[in-house]
Amino acid sequence: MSQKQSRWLLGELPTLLNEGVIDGGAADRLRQHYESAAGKSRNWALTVFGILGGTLVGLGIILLLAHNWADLSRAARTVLAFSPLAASLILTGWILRSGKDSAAWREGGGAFWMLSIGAAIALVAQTYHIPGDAGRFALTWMLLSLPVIYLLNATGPALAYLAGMTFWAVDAQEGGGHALLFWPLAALILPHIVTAARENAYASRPVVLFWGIALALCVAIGVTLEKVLPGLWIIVYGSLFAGLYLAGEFWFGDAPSFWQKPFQVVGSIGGMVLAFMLTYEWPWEEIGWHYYRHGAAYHGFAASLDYALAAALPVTAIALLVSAVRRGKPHALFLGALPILAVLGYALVAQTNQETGALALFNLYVFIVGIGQLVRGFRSRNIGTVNAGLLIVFALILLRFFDEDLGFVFRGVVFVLLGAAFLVVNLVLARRKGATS
Amino acid sequence: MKTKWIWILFLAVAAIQLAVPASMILKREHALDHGTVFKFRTAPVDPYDAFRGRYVALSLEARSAPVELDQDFEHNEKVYALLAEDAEGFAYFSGVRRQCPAAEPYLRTRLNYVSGTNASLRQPFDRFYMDENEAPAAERAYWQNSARSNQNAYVQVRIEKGFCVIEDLYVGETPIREYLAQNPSPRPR
Repeated sequence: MSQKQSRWLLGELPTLLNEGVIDGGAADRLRQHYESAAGKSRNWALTVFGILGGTLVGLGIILLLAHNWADLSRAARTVLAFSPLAASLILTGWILRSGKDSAAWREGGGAFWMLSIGAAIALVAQTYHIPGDAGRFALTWMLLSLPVIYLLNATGPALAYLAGMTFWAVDAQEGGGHALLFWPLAALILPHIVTAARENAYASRPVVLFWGIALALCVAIGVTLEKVLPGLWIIVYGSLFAGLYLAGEFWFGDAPSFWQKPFQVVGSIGGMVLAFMLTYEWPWEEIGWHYYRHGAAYHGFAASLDYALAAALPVTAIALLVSAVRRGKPHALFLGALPILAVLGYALVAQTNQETGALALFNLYVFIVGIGQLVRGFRSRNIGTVNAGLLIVFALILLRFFDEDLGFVFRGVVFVLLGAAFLVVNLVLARRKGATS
Repeated sequence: MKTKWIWILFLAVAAIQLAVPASMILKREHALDHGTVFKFRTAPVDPYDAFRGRYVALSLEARSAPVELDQDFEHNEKVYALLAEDAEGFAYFSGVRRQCPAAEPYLRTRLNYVSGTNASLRQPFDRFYMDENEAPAAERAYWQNSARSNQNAYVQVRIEKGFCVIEDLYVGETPIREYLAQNPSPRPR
């Protein structure tokens, strides 16, 4: 219930009481319940402003230090480097001691603490002209910041930690190294997520964390793949998106709003974007036994992650799909079919060395998903689903209309035949409707 | 009981968070006090780092060292680069070793690649942080100066047991900040 509605209800109570609709006890209980709901939203605002305050002060200090006050001695700069960190430690000590454990204090203090750690290392690096290695800077900063999450039970630093580690993984992989350590390091925030989600998995805190995880997974899987077998990413990403969607439906299926379904949203948008990409030739052309990375940038043991993901992700996604269909959710098949088709397409291209089969498969798949969403939307009178289906079908039609790889005659014939099929179906439906009415 | 553990944890975390930057500082102060001075010819340009501020990127003239053909070095391998000085007193790399040299001065770094008998080394120092207004001026000063005479900017470092800390950046024989004070706001080229 929104705050406006709560206020309206609270305003109605005296009338309801006077007219004898409810008794005094019920009125008190209602008042207590809805006043605490209003209080909750006030707390939420305090938390957001706390985070904003802590972040702005921390970032401001970093900018001030970045100016580089060259006239200061090294000793003075050392004092400067340590003072924000010391201040945040004192603030944290005070929060722990005074028991001011409201989210506003914890989150605001956490944001400031985390930034003051970064400021301290950055100023030392500046004073001593330490070589620029952004990845290592991020790794040191994030590892030192990890305890902030747990000591203050703060979610903002947990998200920042996830982002920082993802940044490090990208940097490590780009520099010719490998980022396998990302997985155990990222897993260090799992206890925080479990604690946050235990009470209510649809509350703001766990939902924000879930969005962070869903997005970080999409980036990190691609980054940490050793990319030994070209094209293996098709299977890995196909299974990842389907798996995200299905896992979301499995554990958070009754989420009341779009915003509370991070796994479903990321999974279905990512899955559809991938499916559209796979209607082009270029992803399939790379399949074969040609190595992307070689020499010192090739890490054989890191490639075992590729194989493990390529095996485990499709199996997990398919297991989730089977369970969804058994629980009477056949629409899970739309996205759940993606990993199966990815494996099929991969095998087809690897065997025949021809992309045509895989292309036809994915064009058909995207078309069926679009039409399927349309039909499902019409049946359930859900305008959102209808629009999603329309978007998919029209995008496919437009992309194929401008696709220069296909001949004009071929495109023309297929378009006319498909159009005719739609008109015939419409005619049949209209006749049937006319007959029943 | 639980509160007690939280406090112990908090104090341990605070100690580590203070110790990491402190150890970074101490290691470098020690090298500045006890290290040997070397001068490397360099060309400075002016990029930007949102966290650490403006700096002058240093592009060293000495970036490679001779190696024997049969030594199989790998990309990114940790090596000891032997240091020598030319007739004008500027440092260059005279060789690459896998083991730590006993007597000769050296620098710890990594190997980029080997082509023939020439090993390209990772630059052990690549930036000199400056005031946000001074860094672009420093780059202009360098280019103006290098147009007049030969390339004559160099960075002075102190090296102790292969670990290197920058002391100052010089244009001509003048530290860069003094040089900028003497030649205020050179016009952009």
